[in-house]
Amino acid sequence: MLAKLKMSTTKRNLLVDLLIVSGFLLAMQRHLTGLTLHELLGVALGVGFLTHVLLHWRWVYETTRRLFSKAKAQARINYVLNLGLLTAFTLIIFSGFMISEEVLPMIGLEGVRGGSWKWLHTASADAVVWLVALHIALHWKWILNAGKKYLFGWLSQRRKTAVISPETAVVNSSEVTI
Amino acid sequence: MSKTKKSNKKQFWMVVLGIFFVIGLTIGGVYFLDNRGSISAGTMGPEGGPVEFVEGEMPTLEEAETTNAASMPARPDHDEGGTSFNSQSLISMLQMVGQILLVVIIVAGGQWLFTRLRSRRNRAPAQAG
Repeated sequence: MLAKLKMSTTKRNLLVDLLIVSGFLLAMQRHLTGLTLHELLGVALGVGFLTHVLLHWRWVYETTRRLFSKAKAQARINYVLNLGLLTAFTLIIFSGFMISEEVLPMIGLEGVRGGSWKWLHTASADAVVWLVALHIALHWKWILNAGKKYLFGWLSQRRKTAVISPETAVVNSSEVTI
Repeated sequence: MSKTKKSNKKQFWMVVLGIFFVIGLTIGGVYFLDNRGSISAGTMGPEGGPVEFVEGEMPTLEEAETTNAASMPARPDHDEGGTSFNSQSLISMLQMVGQILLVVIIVAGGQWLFTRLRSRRNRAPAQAG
């Protein structure tokens, strides 16, 4: 059973990333989802974001170790950007908890409905859109390759079979006649 | 347990600890700043009003309600958690996707241009030599 569930690291990472991006896009549309779903999506996004970071824990460890010595410029830029993303996501989720009207009361707590927390929530969400865009931009080659392989792999396979099929048909027919 | 596995486990927990340290630092920092009133200072007044309002200048809630209630039409409240799938939210979502795509195109284009210029610069001295 477990062997059947096993998937490649790239496929797993792509799946988690796609879930995070679609969840993020949806959570940003509060009027579309409604407040309850918006808050629940926010909590799920926090978990998803932590999962994403922990799936790349080796990169985090190695880059932190080499940050002030051997790390390449791109790795350093990536590191600073990711640190900014972690901080901004923490701010969104924490300020979201502070102004929560649905999730906190569910667990018997009351949030504060202050203007500054609401401002912080909106400002950090706006910042995260830019940071996410930069994060995607810095990894676009990986996204393109993984997407080609796992999301649109069936397209190239279909094209291949379409090209091969006339020949195979000839081979098959010759086999039959012989 | 093998030595590498043990060291991997240790490194993993160090990363987890580091992440929670950053999260704790951010939350602690922002909570401290909010307690000092530093977050609201730059954006909103002490009562949540815009910065340009001086204390005493801003009408109280009751005054505002009595003076404007009759002349203002009832405004639909969008902040109460109701859902509505309209073109506005779809446009807003598309705008965000467009914003992300724009950044991707600019960064990817910049990277492509940088690599091209560098390879051309490397090729030029080789041809001259």
